[in-house]
This record gives sequence, C-alpha cells and structure tokens, in this order.
Amino acid sequence: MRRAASVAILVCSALLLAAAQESADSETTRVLALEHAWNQATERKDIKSLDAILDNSMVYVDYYGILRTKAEYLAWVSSANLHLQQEVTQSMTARRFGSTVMVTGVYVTKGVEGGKPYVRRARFVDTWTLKAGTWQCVASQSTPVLH
Amino acid sequence: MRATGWSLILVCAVLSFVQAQEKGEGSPATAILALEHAWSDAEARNDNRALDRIFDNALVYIEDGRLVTKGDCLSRMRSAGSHARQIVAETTTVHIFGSTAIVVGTYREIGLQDGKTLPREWRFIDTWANKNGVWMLVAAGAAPLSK
Repeated sequence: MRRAASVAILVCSALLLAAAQESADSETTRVLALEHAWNQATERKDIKSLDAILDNSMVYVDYYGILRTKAEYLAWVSSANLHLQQEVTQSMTARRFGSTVMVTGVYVTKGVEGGKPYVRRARFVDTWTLKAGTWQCVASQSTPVLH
Repeated sequence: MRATGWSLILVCAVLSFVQAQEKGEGSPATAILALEHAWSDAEARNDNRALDRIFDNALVYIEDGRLVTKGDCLSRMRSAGSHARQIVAETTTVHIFGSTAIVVGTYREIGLQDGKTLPREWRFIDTWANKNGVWMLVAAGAAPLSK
C-alpha cells in the first residue's frame, strides 16, 4: 500500500513535468511521466518505486557499457558508494509502436561514485512495454555524448 | 566477379531471412537473431536495400552519442563505400516481451582511421517491434566498453 502510494505520488508529480512535453498520445505522456518518476526515485534511492517502474526482466546498459539486470541495477543505485546528486533529462521524445514505447533523450547526471565526483552526459534509449495495463521499462541503454 | 557472386549470395541470404519472418517461420527469437545477422552482413557490404527492409521508418539509432534517423543511417552507408567497417558479433541474447524483442550483446567493430585498423568493442541494445507480423528494428544504441 505504501509502495503503491509512493509510486502514485511520484507519477503524479512527474505528470505535471511531462505535461510540458505532452503529445497527442496520452500513453506516451504517461511513459514520459514514468521517466521523470524514475529519475526522482533514483535520486532518492527509492528502491520500492524503482522496483515498480522497472520490469523484472529489465536489461540495463550503462554509460560505461556495463550490463546490469534489474537486481544488479537496484543494488548499484542503493549502494553507499553512489551518491547521485542530480539527474536532469533534456530533450526527451517518446514514440509509440503498439504496446511498445521508445523514449530517447539526453540526460546529465552529477554525483559522487567511489569517492570521486563525476558529471556525465549521455544519450539514452529506453524501451517500455504495456503489461496488464501498466507500462514497465524492459530495456535501458546509455551512450556518452562526446560531441 | 567473385565479389559480385558474394554480394548476390548475401543479398539472397538477407532476403530469405526477411521472407522467413514474414511467413512466421521459427520462433520469434530465431527470427530476431537471423535479422541481426542479416543486418550485420548488409551493413558490412553497404547493402542499403536490405537495410531499408530491416529498419523501421521511425528508427532511432544512437551512434557515438548522436541520434540518427533511418535516412541518416542509410546515407552514411552509401557514403562509406570501400571504407565500410567490419562488425563481429560476440555475444547476443534475445528477450521477448509480446510484440517487443530486446537484443543485448557485444560486438567488435574494426574500422579504418588514417589508414590504420581501429578495433573497438561495444555493448548494444536493439529493440525490435512486431508490426503486422513483421519484426522491424525500431531502436538501436551501443555504449563503448570501458577497458
């Protein structure tokens, strides 16, 4: 119950942010809201919300090409070594293909990992699928923006 | 002559992969893997016709941190000419989520820069969507593997 309420609050607040990017398709807007909710949950190390947003079979390829399962990703986010200070998504676009939504964009993330401060700018592609009426992220991949 | 023969064999192979999936032969994972191979072969030989059938018109492709469209991709292949890069797939896993398929893997790219071969390793995620019984590539991105 608390977990559901937590996700609902995150999604509602994120929907306000996503409204600025609203397209004709309300489902893509919902997915964009979930992207914002994901960022907020990551910043807060809110593992319960992340667990609800990410599919159990999710595959995640990070900035350094490291492949993580959902469990590995959650362990990485909750790690005491990682202090994510800010994650800002820029120029996010969603495209729907039936029960699949692809989100592309650029994010800038700042934090401290392993005692070292970092700033990373990456372009990402996230894949969301509709499962029993709920959008869940099944794949996420980031690539450094070097240009 | 030999080159022409090889090209014909490869074009036929690519077309047979595409036709096989159109007829629904084999499991989705088999069809997706065949398409991944067909894509690599077509790219190595600048076979735009085959790529045009594999790539969805709304494809989003992240290349070296840049977002490129299907048109950008095909025109790069055309201009690559004899400097085409060689792609060697190393590990590949397919995850099926209804009408969405996620392919995760690594590949080695052998390109040419200033007359010298330049090997690089990447981790990729490709997303395929089944549209009216035909699997089409809708998103692809890769992150360079850190050493």
